[in-house]
Amino acid sequence: MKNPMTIALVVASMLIASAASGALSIVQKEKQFSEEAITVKNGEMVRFINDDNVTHNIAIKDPSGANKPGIMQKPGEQSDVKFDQAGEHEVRCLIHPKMKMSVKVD
Amino acid sequence: MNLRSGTSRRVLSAAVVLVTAAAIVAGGDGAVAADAALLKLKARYKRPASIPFPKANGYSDAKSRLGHTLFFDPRLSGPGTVSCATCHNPALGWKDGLPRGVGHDAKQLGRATPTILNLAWADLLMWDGRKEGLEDQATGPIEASVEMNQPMPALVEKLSAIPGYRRMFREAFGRDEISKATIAQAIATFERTLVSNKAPFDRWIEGDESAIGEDAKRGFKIFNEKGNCAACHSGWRFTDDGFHDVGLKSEDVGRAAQMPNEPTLKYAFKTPTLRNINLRAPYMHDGSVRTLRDVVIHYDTGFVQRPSVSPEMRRLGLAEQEIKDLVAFLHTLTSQDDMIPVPVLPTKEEGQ
Repeated sequence: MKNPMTIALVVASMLIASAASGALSIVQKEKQFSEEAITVKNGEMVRFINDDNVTHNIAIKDPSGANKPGIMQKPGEQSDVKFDQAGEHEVRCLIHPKMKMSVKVD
Repeated sequence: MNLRSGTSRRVLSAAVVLVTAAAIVAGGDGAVAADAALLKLKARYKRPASIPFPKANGYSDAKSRLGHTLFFDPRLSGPGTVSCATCHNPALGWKDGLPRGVGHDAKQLGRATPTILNLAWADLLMWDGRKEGLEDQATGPIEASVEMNQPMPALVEKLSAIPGYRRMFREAFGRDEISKATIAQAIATFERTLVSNKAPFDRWIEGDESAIGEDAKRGFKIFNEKGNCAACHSGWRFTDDGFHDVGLKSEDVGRAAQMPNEPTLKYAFKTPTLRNINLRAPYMHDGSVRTLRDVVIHYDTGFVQRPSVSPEMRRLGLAEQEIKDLVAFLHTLTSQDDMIPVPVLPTKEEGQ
């Protein structure tokens, strides 16, 4: 039997493969991000996909502590975000603040 | 691109979907598919097995006992007249039964007292989310001039002069330190233990079809579908811990006071839990709605349309029977909870 991590990675790989742009994809489903933490290269794009049945509003706090304006996403919408500042970014839904994850930029 | 790190949260959900899909394929008809869909829906409301306590403030009986005692002690207020339990009254669903809270010296507050039930799972507390967590929140009302009006240095001095409290803090924290941090940790620990028991709804979720009436079962379906209530009142606590403008007439901008650059948060307030909701009238952050029926009617046709109104809000067009079914369902969320005793408070006469 495959362990949960293996299954998780397979599911994640499928999601990544489905992203048309080739960008790393984070799915929002049932008021959670699909990952708690990811690491990307400086300048890399991350695609946030709202696969939920409610609207989300993604806000990103950069390593300096500055907040970028929220990105409203209705169900089915997606947004590509470029991460070009080294360090830890906090990503949070402004409507549902329990939805949070971190993006570390190498 | 590669996923370089991260842990999926989706495994359990994926399993539920697979089981559901398998049931649909095996059954091959609409009734089986409907049953599978209901099963999947019910799974979203399953209660957790245990209370989460943070690593930074782990549980101990001594700490919870101390927090319980502090919570009921009016000496935590400046004038010595108001305890946490004055507003968060266990006999009134851990609130006060008033449209808006009342502070010391009968000072009228701006918003309704929220319940403190099931907060161990909550995040960003207060109606506007200005407190990060329970430890952050616990001392806020104590120090607020309109609420308990007790400067923290004076409280530390006051408690330190009571031998029984010195002993209780020593038992809870292994040292005599009475400070804002240890007061907050003790109260937060006690508050995390306040969890609603299983309600008739939970017994139905577990498979007891006789636990709730047919009207409530219909109400559950409306709650999740036509009513769209579950868009925000989701999960076993029936809250997303989110912030939404639900179209109440109010000058209070709510969450926007904390985040003024986010127009969608104007008039947005934290989604309250619906557990034991029929014990907590009047309703809404401003206490402006008297009954659960009136709440349902507000969401059906009564809310104000404005740019910031939650995108989950829509005119519902509920029939009279559907309104009754929704209210019947809400009543099934009330549990018979454990009695919380009023503790005997330590006095200056007690020996160490």
